[in-house]
Amino acid sequence: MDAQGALDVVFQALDVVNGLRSADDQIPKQSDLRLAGSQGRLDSLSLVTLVVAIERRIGEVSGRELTLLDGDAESGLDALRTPASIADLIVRKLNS
Amino acid sequence: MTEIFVVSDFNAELVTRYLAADRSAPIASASSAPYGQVFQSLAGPLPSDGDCVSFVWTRPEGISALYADHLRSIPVSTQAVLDSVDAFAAAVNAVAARCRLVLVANWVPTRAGRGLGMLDWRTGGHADLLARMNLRLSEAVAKSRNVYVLNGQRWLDGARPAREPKLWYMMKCPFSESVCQAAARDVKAALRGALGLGRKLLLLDLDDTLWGGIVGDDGRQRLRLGGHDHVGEAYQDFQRALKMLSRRGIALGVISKNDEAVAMDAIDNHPEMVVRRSDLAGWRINWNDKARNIVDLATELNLGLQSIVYIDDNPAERGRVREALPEVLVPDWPKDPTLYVDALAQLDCFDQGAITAEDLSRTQMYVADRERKESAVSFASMNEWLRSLDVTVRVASIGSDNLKRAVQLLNKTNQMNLRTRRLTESELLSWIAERDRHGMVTLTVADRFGDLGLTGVLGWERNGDQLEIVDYVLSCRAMGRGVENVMVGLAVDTAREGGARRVVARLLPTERNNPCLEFWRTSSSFVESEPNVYVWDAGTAYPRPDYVTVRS
Repeated sequence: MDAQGALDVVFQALDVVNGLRSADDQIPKQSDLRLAGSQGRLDSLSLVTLVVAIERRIGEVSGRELTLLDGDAESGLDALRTPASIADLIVRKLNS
Repeated sequence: MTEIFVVSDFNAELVTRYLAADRSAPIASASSAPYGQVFQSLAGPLPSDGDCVSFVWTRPEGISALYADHLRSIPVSTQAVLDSVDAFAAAVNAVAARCRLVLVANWVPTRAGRGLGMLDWRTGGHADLLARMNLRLSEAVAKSRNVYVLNGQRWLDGARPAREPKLWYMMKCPFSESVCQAAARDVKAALRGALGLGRKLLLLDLDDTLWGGIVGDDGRQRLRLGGHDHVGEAYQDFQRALKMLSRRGIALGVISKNDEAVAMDAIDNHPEMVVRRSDLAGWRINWNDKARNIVDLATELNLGLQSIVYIDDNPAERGRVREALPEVLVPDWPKDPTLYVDALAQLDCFDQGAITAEDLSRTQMYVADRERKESAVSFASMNEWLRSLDVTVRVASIGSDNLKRAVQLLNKTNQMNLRTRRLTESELLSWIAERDRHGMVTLTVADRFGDLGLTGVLGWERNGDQLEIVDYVLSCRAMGRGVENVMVGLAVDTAREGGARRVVARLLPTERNNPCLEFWRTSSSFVESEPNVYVWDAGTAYPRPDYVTVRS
């Protein structure tokens, strides 16, 4: 899976998170949008939902089992900073 | 605005967010009680007094420590487990007294697994004990009229995956977001049902919807319906499912671009048809715009567009109706007829808080009404026709026999409704409990064409020397037969018997109750003392129409 494919997966998972939000509070699909950390758009519940949705989608499209967060919470949060950084993480994990 | 208060022993915040994001009617806000504090939350303050709906979703092991022991193969007494269910049910029943509505999810196994395998349904098995707990819960909360148990298993059945262990370990929610979303949808459907906002009329296209093929081209004999043909069987099963809905009180109708004579010939004479002419509340079969036909039929049946569901196999026709009539629910529909029955079964718009005798005979009432209107054509004057109807009105005090239907009527009726007061069963019970001040009767109407059912509610309040009409509600299907004046006469009689000197009706105008306004202005004989306030001197008897027979 290349970076664009991984970004598509992140955006598809964002649809799941957006289902939890009202129509006027949807998260836009921008690769550099701040999702986690200070000034991030997602709280912890939404972040967990996003991570689980991404892992499930990766399983569906690649048949691979992927665990995005297996380290300490601090470094994990940094990798979830934006859709682009999550896509990088996906590609790294799938290629490792 | 209604507030939905989500109470759970696990983190059910996902459900709360789905509920808050759901903009379907009725719009409700949602909040979560601190999770893991079920009994404290049920006994504690509610987010909003009176208009609060509680949704209680728990894991069986979160409510009964003994059931948790049982899952760990520690021997427990079944009776002791059921006692813990009773304690939970008592807390639910107690909060019900302070809520408009309480919805409780039945218990499902929190983790997927084989339980005790082949012993799971033997005494001592997990499945066996959980079933007993659910039955006990259902029976124990049934004593509260405003508590309903929702079938949580359905939320899991339709979800892939249903359980998400990672969500449990990361945020203490054992179910996937799909399950939580299904739960939120079901809560909203139940809320609509309890408020009487469920859909009442299902309109259907014919060709490739009710049967396979084009009747105008293929002819009745070549339609795919029943027989030794998997597609024909699917259409026939779909018709059986429709007929089952009609037995529950959902009226059926047809909207089709076809030659009416050809289509009705197939409906009447195709040997494998299940839905026949007598099952149809009405139809519009012609070459006109379907949206226009739907409006026309809704007007004939005295139903609002928000009561209607329209099913059509043709996406262009669905799009047209959706665009022209946004109040009509037009579900997406599968292309494959073998999926029709499941698609129908998934619709959550037909939920009802109660199914009354009137619901069960709704189609017959529409059929009788059709015959009644056809007969009106043969009379020279309206008065002559009214006399020919032999209208009888049976008046009954409000009680357990007519309470559900009265609540349904209060909450559904828009047009002939003086003040559009919406009440739950418990709220109405509290109101009528003040017997020295409040009174209410129901009216059941019949004529020579059939029974129109319980179609009128009259409620009043005594205030000094005045009797004020609080509820003046008449179903559209009983309007225009003199019953309106009979109801007013009943109020005046009650005032006179109680020594009141005047009768007052204060109309609260809404977007929909113009027919009521017109009646009070032009046909009630009351004096309009100030805008929308109508008064009768109770010293004078009220003239009732002599062509209506009134019985108590």
